[in-house]
Amino acid sequence: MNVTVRRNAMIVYAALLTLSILWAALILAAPWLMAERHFLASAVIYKGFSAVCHQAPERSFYFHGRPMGVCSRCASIYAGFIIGLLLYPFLRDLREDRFPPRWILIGAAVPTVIDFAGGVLGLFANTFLSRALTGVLFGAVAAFYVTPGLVSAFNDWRADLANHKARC
Amino acid sequence: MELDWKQPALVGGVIAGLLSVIPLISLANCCFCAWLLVGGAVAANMLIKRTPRPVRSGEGAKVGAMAGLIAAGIYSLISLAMVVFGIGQDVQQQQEALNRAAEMTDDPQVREMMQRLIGMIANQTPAQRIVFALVILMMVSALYVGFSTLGGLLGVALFEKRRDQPPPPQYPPGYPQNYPPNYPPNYPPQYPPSSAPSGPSEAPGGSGGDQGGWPQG
Repeated sequence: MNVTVRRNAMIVYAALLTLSILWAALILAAPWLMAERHFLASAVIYKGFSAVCHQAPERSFYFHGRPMGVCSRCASIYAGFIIGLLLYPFLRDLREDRFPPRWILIGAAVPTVIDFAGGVLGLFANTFLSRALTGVLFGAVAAFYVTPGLVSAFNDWRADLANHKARC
Repeated sequence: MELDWKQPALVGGVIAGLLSVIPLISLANCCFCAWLLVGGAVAANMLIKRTPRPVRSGEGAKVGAMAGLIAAGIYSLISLAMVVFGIGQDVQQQQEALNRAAEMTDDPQVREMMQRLIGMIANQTPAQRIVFALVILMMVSALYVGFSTLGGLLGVALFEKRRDQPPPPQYPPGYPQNYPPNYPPNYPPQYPPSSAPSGPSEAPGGSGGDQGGWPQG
């Protein structure tokens, strides 16, 4: 039983890390493909990311002379998520399927919200550095909530599947 | 215990799907897919309120993913209808985006290629337009499911406040659980008030009291 739970957790962690890295690679691929003159592929990726980000060039990091697929805040959140995932096995048991206390998540979101709201309300101008730092913090903490959730979901799914097979 | 997934997923999905296609309001999705996160969190919150036991994080992810699927279905149907009937500014938007990209480069060869691509998009047949829209919709649907799952997970993390409570007792199969309210009869027993103070001679755990025991009233 313990071995199964550990294996499930490893599968979820490896899949999540792979998907996150692929996601980040797509963000970088959009400008790279544009620079390499693969315009259609680049346009499809930019268009896909437009569903989740405003992609304003003046608020984006540049790669190969072109703006990345998402803005600097989003890119930082994704980068932070990968950092959080890489740190996760050193700080928590992979088999853990319960969330850390919720105040940590709320606390990590507060700087991002303040930075975003300050910019929108015109109270202060946020910078690339502020967007990057607050985004990385939130993304890294979010990884500690997403991973146990998906581990729990995967455990449930495997248990349901085993029950279904036993009934058949 | 079987959970009632359908209604929370439907409500969360409809909220996320509709808000993602209404012009102007849908702009909030540019902020980390806000409506999808909200839809997933609403579904998780509804599930929490309808479930007598603590909802696990995996169940939040599951209801969030279902809400995301429904939202993606709504978004895809409306978007495809708009493409088929030529409603909306999709083609024009694509051209404008490519024009902007073309202006960003000084390389004449790149500009020429971009202009050719803009021409290609302008001369698309309806079938080509639908294929292009389908590719984009598949990407967007995957994003919707992913972000809504995230919303469901975060919803459980934020709204489930019963996590530290002990789980309800697990009865063996076939054990009757529908006792009448005053069963067993004459329980707890009513003892006459004792005048003697309870001292150290009392058996530990004998009277329950602060140490737990049968709930009173």
